[in-house]
Amino acid sequence: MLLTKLHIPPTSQNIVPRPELYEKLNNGLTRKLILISAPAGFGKTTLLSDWISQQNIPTAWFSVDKADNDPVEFLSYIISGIQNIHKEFGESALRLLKSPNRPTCESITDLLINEILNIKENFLLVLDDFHLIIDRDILELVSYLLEHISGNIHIVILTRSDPTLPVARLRSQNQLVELRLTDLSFSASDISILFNKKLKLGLSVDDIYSLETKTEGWIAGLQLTALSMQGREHISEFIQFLKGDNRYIMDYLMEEVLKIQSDEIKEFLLQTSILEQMSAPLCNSLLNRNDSQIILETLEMNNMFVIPLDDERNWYRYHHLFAELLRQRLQLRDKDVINALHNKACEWFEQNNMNEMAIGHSLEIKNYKKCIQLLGREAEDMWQNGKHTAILKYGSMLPDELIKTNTEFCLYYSWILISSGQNQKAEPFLESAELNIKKIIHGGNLTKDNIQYHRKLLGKISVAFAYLKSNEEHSGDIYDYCRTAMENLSDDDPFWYSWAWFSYGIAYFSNGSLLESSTSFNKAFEYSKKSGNIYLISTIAIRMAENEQQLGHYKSAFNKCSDLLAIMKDKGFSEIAKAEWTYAALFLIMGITEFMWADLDRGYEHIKIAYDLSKKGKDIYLRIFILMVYTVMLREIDEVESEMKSIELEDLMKQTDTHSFLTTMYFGWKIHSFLEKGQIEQANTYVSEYGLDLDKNKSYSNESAYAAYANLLLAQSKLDEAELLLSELYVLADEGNRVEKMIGLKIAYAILYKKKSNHEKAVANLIEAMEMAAGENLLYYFLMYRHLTDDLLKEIFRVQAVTKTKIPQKFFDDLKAALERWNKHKKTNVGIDLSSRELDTLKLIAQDLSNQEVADKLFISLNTVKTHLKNIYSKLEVDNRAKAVTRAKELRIV
Amino acid sequence: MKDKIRIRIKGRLNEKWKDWFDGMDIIEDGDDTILYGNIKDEAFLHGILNKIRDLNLELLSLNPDETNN
Repeated sequence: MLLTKLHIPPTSQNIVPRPELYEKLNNGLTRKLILISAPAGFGKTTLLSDWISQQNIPTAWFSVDKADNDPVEFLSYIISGIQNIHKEFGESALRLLKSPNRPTCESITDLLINEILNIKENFLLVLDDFHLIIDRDILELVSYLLEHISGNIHIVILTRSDPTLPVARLRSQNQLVELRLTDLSFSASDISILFNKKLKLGLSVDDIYSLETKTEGWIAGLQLTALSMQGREHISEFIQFLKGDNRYIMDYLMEEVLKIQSDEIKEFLLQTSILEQMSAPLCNSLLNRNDSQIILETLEMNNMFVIPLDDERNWYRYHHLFAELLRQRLQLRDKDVINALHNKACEWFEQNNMNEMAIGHSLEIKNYKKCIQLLGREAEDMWQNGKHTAILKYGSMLPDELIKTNTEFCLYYSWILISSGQNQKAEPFLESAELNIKKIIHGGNLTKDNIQYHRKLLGKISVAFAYLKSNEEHSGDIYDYCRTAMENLSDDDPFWYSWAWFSYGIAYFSNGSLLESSTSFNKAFEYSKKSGNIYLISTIAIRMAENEQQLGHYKSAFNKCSDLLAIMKDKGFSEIAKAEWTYAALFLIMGITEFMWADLDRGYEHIKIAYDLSKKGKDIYLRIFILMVYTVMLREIDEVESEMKSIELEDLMKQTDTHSFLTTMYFGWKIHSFLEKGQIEQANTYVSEYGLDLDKNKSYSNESAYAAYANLLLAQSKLDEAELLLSELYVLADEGNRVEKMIGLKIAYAILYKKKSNHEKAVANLIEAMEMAAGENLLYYFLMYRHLTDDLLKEIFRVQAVTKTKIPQKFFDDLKAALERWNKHKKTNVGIDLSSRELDTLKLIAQDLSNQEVADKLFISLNTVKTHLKNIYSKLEVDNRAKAVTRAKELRIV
Repeated sequence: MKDKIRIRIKGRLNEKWKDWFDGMDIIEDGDDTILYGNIKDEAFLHGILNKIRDLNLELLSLNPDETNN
């Protein structure tokens, strides 16, 4: 981090006071945004820093440069800037940013907005040279910030062109103060103050007006004019000549200024113009001299567009416009010298441990060899500190073949490629890295330390390979990579070690080996805690909980989630969990568990959080899965809302590619919905469309679909077919020890025997189901089918009262209480039961569409529309469409 | 996008700036200057426009070259 970028530029001695502009700026202290938008050389920075020093306002200043087009860099500078006025600000956010994997920048911004609320006093956040920001994510982030910040922070943007931000909205909300070219340009009286009062050049009124016309109040032009007047006898003639000349004024004035400098100074200016920032030692080395400090200070004193970047006068830069004009001249005169200068600068920065500056200079002259050499040394540090955008940028600039020669850069570059989903691009680089390192290790001739270093590197490369393979469907060699990783790494590298175990876990998990994956995830979790990387800890903890839930260990899954939330809270990251979409899975697991335990209130709260978070993310499968759970839960609470969410779910399904696991789940959900509404016909049609067939093979991958089918058969009293199917499914579930499936099937058996009037067997099966469910307190299964098993449950409660079963009393008590609670819930519902087609119809007539138009829109016949309408009227208890629409609006259905 | 384009700016800019504008031709036209040349792609055009902005040159007009048609 270059601290010089956070330095408030000092004001110079010849400043012209601008009371009207100060007044405008003062108004900004009650607004969210002060926008100063004008071309180069209109004194934006000077005006602002002058005003700040007069008003003595606490200020976080950030001079943006091109390299800051990375949300991580950008946010880091903002945080460090604010830390200059509030030491404790944003510590946890900064730690999150500077890590190899982390939550999204939006979540981190939320964290910051929250912290800004805690700062009581007014302060400014200045973003100078904002036009250099072209990264869309940053622009969105700043918009978001502007929308959500509290009244005590005022953002000031200085820019050469208007930013892509919601400026119009802020203007209409009276949250904006704007200063533009016409405000900033010097009037004749300003010019008079500068030339006559400050610089004592004694210009006539005519001269002043001529200058105003010629420069149009452009301050940099006026300053150059003043510089070129130095030592001139006939100032008035000079001005008159200038007035009549139509050359590009800056070019002309620059020529005049350089003309009156000594050769030595001229040379100094030209050659140092290649530097973004300069210090005396750097200039000394570049120009083989030893008096650069004196020269720099003299230049500053003489207003030669030199700006100090710190209070100690160690670092300076030229005014951008001035530097640009100098560089143009240097390029014209001597292209070879430019290469030599960049090389020297590169060398100097390298020797002074400012590698990123060195890299910049090597790229400037396309010295890629030097560049990759520097990058190889810097890559781990950059990766560790979250500078991923920079690594990607360098990777895309350098030739692939050259990158492949550098093992370190290959490793970190491909890691970032993998995490941004570019597996194919990453693989060849990883392969080269592996080849390079194996050659070195097998080549011998290494010292002990060296061997150690290279073995670790091999370990890390293997972890990266495992990471790559875990994103792919078929991942046979992932185990080999994990093994190689573990042989070469130790818990000295907790991040990598943890990731190796994590990859192991994922491989086992996708294989269905849940016990092995559980062990691996546990190990990964231990080491992740040692690494301290909160995002890694979270990722692993959520996978662990998911694994536990798959095993039917609800209590353990739930505890893993609440432990993680406690860790997050402890470290000050509670906000992240509530804002970051990847945590949707965590709240989903908690919500499902609470739902299973019949705790509707808490379950609903958590699933709702999961649902809201999932909308922020890109994982459509997760979102669909959450919606399935959400709609089922909502049926117990708010049927209208449940119906709405069902429509959302079905729309999503239509847009999504088929995904076998999800399709099976969706099938079950669909059948369940039909059964809830008593739509047997539709359910049967759906089954045949889906292609379920009793004679086909049943397997782990389709058993949930068949289980739903079994319920449909039961509902139609097709008892023999149901019984056969149930027995097949039970054997399958039993073999795989999938307890939850067995519980569901046992309840289905109970319903079957009840229908067969075999009361004894029905009760026995239900008790067996309860015995299996009691350990994890899975009450939901019994609530789900309560209307079918009501009498059986009553009987069991009675039996329980006289003879003891194996089921603990607490389970019965909980179940009884839950039944009472849930039935009460249900009663308070508005019992509206519109089908999704009826709802579609209702929505369209609410938009004043005719029956024919509705029919066309929904691709159904006019008659079907009429039938839908009839059903809608009867369900809403109305007799015409106007009333139906009114009623629907009351019920918030449309 | 391999079209030619004319950019008119206020003031006379001399030939020496040719390299600075990525090899575009610099043509004097009265008191104005015209930058004329091939536009390789969008990014190239934006680069040129940024340079005009950064030098505080006044942009008067920007047109596709129609002399070819």
